[in-house]
Amino acid sequence: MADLILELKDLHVSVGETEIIRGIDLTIERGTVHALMGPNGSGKSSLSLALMGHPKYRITRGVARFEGRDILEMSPDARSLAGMFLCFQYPSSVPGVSVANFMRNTLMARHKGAAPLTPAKFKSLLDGATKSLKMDPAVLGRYVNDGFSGGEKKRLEMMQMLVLKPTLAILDETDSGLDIDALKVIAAGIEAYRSPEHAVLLITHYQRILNYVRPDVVHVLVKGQIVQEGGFELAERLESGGYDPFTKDLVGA
Amino acid sequence: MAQFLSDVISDQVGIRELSARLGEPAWLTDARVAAYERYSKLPAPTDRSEGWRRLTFEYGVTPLQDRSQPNTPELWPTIEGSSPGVEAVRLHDAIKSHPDLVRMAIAKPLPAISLHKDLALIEAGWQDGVFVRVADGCVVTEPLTFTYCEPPFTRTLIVVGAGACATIVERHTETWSLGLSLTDVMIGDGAQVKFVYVQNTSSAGFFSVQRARLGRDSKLTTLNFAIGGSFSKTDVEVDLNGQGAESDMLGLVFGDKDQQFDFHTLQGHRAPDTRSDLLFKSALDGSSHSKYTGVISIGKDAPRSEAYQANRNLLLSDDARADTEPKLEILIDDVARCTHGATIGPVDDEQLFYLRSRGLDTDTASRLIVEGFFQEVFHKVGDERVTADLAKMVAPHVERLGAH
Ligand SMILES: Nc1ncnc2c1ncn2[C@@H]1O[C@H](COP(=O)(O)OP(=O)(O)O)[C@@H](O)[C@H]1O
Ligand SMILES: [Mg+2]
Repeated sequence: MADLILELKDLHVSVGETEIIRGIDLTIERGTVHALMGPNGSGKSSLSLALMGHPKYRITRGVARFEGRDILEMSPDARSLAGMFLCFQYPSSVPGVSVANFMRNTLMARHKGAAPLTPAKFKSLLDGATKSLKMDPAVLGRYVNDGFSGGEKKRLEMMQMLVLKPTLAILDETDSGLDIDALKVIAAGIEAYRSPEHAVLLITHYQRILNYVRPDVVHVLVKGQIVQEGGFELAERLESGGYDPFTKDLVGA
Repeated sequence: MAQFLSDVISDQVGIRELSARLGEPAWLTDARVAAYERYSKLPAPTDRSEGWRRLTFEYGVTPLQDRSQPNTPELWPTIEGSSPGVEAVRLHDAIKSHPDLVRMAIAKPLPAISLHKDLALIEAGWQDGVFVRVADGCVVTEPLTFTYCEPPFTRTLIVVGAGACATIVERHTETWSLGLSLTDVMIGDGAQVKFVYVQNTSSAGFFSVQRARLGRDSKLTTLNFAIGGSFSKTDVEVDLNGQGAESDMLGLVFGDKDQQFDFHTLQGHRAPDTRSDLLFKSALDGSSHSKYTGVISIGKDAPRSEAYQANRNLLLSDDARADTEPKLEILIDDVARCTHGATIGPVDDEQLFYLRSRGLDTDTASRLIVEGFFQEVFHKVGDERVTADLAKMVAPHVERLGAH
């Protein structure tokens, strides 16, 4: 039997009165990388925020399971502790809270009851992650995302993923706005995380990153619905033909 | 409702008796009597008076209780951290050792914005004080701290010489129903000073006026940390009198229950190329209330000045509230930059969700955000020896936040 990490059935998501995700089915197996592609405004971020439990993005219908557990019953923090992780497209800044202090708290939340990490282990864990992402080690003393450039924010999101080692990583446009060198660093980070134990939902607007992180399955999201699925060749077709052929097929958006 | 009594010296004779008991020279007795004259002519504030609107209080009067303790050293302010080149003594001793300096500072008071009557009262009736003088060019590494616990009316004079460098902390822990405090800070050319004012009293009413005058190319960083008192009113006025002078004004309030905090700040640009930056923050729990008025004044003689002002209010309960009002008095076109901004609101939902998405429960996430709210200001002071104590004072309040 397939080892399912994420299982979505007829999932609907609304913001206020507006339905944004209009019935999608998606299953992600352990050890696989799925790409979710779609034009701006198709609902990619809404889906990822709803999966992480953002109170504004309400799941109004359908089934959402993580490793067989109904996530609708789980708070955002419970989802995180269970092994879900979202690389935010637009992460919040938290002035006054240093990256190191933040990471210490996230690790402490995971060590409830167990022996806490020694300071030396904590330091080497953080140093390893920042180094692999070619980040200035001084970032640990800076306030979370406060005054960070776009690229620095993306790296910090990746850094947290590498430290927390979730089972499922949802990466919401972690590739956008990066120059080619930064993109390669991010791609290498994803490849380092990729393992038979983990699964990735790689959300992207462009095909570019998929040249470095080869997906097993590609889904195309348009106006809140999955309109096409396939392998890597689908991403290549999107690169040359764009999203227009798909948007035409869709009725009653 | 906050009820406090304005402690009133019944007549000029009372003032003269106080002055005599403290063994003061005639010029000081005269200055007190003149201040008392001003005091008695000024009307008591009501909730319609300028600077007192939106506050809830009862302003009453009671005869003076002379709590000056000229012969009881254990009740004098405690002074810690003396260093070579720094003189820190009771103000009455300085009247003898530095008569001209003290006289110049006391006999020519600067006007205060909203506390006219209270300022006049304190000038008339102050009972103890501290005098600090840092010699020219003296670089002091240890922070100098003095703490008042009695009596309730205090007067502080800080004089920092040219090119000197010092960190000075004034702490108030009074328990009397009414506290009044006046602080004058004079900063010489090129001096670099950090001044921290800690208000952790249990007064029903506490009033503070802090006035600083900055010389050429000097820099003053001030932090007002206020956590005590039922009703407190504070004026912080910085006059940038020397070309190139720079002022960083910081404020941090933690309010709970029905505490009221009213801060009034002045960024006074009086010379060319001066720069002022201000960040005042309040975190308000219970049904506490913060009122903030921030004046940026750029005079005709202050071309190319830069002024920034930010007031941030974090509402930690549904009943807490904050008012904020910027006032710009700019008399010149040639201003380099002038910006101001204010926010009032609860803990940001997006920040909270971000932290929760990393596995922190709501209480832990909120506490971290509130700690960060304070930490940002502590960090700007840039002296952990001073701010670590303050962080400890807010910690129990922040710990309690999850409890409701
Ligand atoms: N918080 C919100 N409030 C109102 N509308 C929203 C909100 N978030 C997303 N939307 C709307 O939902 C649609 C999908 O947005 P989004 O999920 O950000 O798309 P994508 O990530 O694919 O660019 C857009 O029309 C957007 O305006
Ligand atoms: Mg998006």
